Formats: sequence, C-alpha cells, structure tokens
Amino acid sequence: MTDKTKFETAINTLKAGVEYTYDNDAPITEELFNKIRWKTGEDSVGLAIETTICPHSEINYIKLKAEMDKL
Amino acid sequence: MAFATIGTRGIQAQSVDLTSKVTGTLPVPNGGLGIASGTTGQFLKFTGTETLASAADNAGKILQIKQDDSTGTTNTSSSSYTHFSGIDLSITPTSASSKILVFFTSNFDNESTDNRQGAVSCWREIDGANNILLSSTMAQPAYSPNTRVSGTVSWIFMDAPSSTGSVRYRPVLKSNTGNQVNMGGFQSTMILMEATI
Repeated sequence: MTDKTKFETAINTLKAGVEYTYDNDAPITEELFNKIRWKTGEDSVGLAIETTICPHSEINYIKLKAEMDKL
Repeated sequence: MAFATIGTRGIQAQSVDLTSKVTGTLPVPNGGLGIASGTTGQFLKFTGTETLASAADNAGKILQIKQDDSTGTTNTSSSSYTHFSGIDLSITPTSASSKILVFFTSNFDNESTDNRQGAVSCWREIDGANNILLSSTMAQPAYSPNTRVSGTVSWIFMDAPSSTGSVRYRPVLKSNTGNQVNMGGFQSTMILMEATI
C-alpha cells in the first residue's frame, strides 16, 4: 500500500467524505500535514475555499499517524 | 539594367502589346504598376484582379508567448475546483482586442479501480480581480469504470480578456466522485500566446 493510499484510507477512517488537497508527496509528516488545504466551502465561480488549519475536530496529525500506522 | 524584348510588330499604333509580344522579366516601368507610391512598412496587395495598392498587413500574428512548466503533483478529493500548484502564469496583452490562446497538458491519474473520475478547467483573473473559470469543465480525464487510468490530459482555449491588464491563468482540478485523484507528476506545461486575428 502506498503512502498516498494509506493517507486516504486513514483520513476516511477518521472522517468519511473529507475534502482536501495536497501537493506532491503524501502528507506523512507533521510538516506536510500542516500544508494540506482543507476545503471549507466554494466561491461564486466554483473554486474551493480552503484553509491549511484543519477544520475537522476528528482529524489531527497524531490521530492520522496512528491510523496510518495500523495499515 | 533589366531589359525585356519586344517581338516583331509588338508596337502598333503607339501601343505595346505586353501580353503576347514582350518576353523576359519586365522592369518596373516608369510610373509604377498602377500605384504612384507605397506606404513605408506596408505590403503590396491586389485590390482587384489587375490592380495593386499599398496595404497594411492584416494577417493574424503571434505577439508574445509565455510558458510555465512543472513536474509537481496536486492530489485532491475536493468536489470543487482547486489550484494545480505547479503552474501559475500571467500575460499582459498589448491590445484589448488581442486573443489569448491557452494551451495546457499534464498527466491525470484516478489512482484506483473504484470508478473515480476527475475534471479539469482553467481559472483566470485580470489585475487581481474578476476571476472566473474559463469553462465549467475543460475535460474529464482518466475515467474508465473499474480501471485505474493514468494518462495525458490536455486542453486548448481561446480567451478574449478585453484588457491590457495582467491576465493570470492557473489550471484547476477536482474530483467528481469525492475521492482522491491527482494531476501532474510528470511534465506539465502551460503556454499562453497573445494573437491578433
């Protein structure tokens, strides 16, 4: 299982249907986790409104890593 | 000095039969070729089947080209368009009537066999405002039921920003199915051409 697949699986285990974007390598470190762009809404032209501060209480780096380590 | 040859009986009644009695390359005759003068920087144009005149070059031209490349990847599960981080390209048209030809190519990967589908488009803004998507969907790449597909995604668009401000273009992508897809990873390129038509 690739790191990208582990990340996606772990995220959806913590909270299904979360919408996110990240660049390049899977965010398996806290530094990369803090660069994830979490979708919080959509603007008038259809572009995602994003924040790098995770808005989901079910998700943080420690919880994510714990889930990924199970895979 | 260039000369043409006038054949037998080529001159009759003070007229020269140019069509059948003169051979060789004609030099420019005294008085020109139906035009008294031309305009510097213009071209010679047929204005009728047998008349010439000086005229501006009104053919389409490429006035400037911009290019941005990336080997980065953007991964998303967002159901709204999000920026492809590797490419961010601006151009300042020399005329408000210019067209901007936008070319983009990259790689798109649906990452799995569970019927994932993505979509791509292009976000554009002028002078830091008035942002729009040039199309609701430029392409829906890498979709094949129950099959992982990783392949080329590309599109071409002719934009008319009607501005001489800074016009900025960024590729965008989204997941139509709400699970992770990605774009990039290999050579991604955007090219902008300002053209007159």
